[in-house]
Amino acid sequence: MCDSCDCGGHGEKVTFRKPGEVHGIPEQRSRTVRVEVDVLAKNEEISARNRAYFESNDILALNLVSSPGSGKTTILERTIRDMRGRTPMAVIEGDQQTLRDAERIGATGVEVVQVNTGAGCHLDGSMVHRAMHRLTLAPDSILFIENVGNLVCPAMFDLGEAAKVVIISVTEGEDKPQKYPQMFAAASLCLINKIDLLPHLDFDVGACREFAGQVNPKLEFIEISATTGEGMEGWYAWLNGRVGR
Amino acid sequence: MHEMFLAMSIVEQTRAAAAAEGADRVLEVEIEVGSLAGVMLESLEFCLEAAARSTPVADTDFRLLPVMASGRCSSCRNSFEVDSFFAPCPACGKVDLAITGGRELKIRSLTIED
Repeated sequence: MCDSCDCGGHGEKVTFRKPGEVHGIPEQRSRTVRVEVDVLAKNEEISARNRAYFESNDILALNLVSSPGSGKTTILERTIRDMRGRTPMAVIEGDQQTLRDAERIGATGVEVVQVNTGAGCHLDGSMVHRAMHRLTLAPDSILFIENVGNLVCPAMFDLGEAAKVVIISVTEGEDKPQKYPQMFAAASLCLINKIDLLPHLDFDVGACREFAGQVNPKLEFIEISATTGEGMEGWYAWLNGRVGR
Repeated sequence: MHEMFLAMSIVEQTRAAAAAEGADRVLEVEIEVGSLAGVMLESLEFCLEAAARSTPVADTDFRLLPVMASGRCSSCRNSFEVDSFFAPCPACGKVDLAITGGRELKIRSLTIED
């Protein structure tokens, strides 16, 4: 280690010196540079641009995340049918394969783009960016982004949304918030879906809320059934309180 | 599952940073991985090897440095190390935790040869 100058010998174990030479010459001319770059920086940059676009055009972008089969698409179908005429809406559908969800949403009459991620387990900022350019997004509208059904990976990838909405259905375990804490920690709202099935199940809604509240004390909850419509007014009120702000 | 995506980003960013420094070779890359970053170390290591193969950084030593997460109790303001999102506060016992560190995933440094 050289204390005298910047000869590059700092931290080098092996040095070579001739009698009379002051500084050690390292065996290899290597140096260490600090970079401090976030691995997700590129995604964050694209998502920040998405967010700026949404905010300057008063578009409420929501990232809907859940396990497969929690009822995301059914919730959207019902929401769109009930709120259409009052609020302009558009949808980006994320799935590994097929146009099925986009066809279901398209049947409600709103504009929809399906993103098929292939092997990918999540949507990223760039996919949303490219998808939103294929939609006509009106001011004071809602853009629902239905992420790939997966409670793990989508938690890491910002899309530029105003909020993440995590959906859990009562046919799942009430301990999911503790098993998949990343997602519940990142969400603003938790929709507890399929509550019409509660009489037939052991699902403990109180315990689910408590588990989720421990992971994220600020998380809000709305209990709904997208099939019967129970509780959906609370969800619409939540949306109306945010759209066009 | 997303570790392959992250590994490919790390390889790409390493090559860009090395090019910016005018480096001939990258000997080592240090990557900080927070314990709550949502990354499996073993999986990321495996994916890095695959992502770097047949690239100029195929021989680079990608070193993953685990960073322990920390949090602050929102009730009593006590700060402490945590290993989950819902650890009870060791001082007051409440589960009201704000994560203050340990979610990072970043390239800290490159050791290069000019």
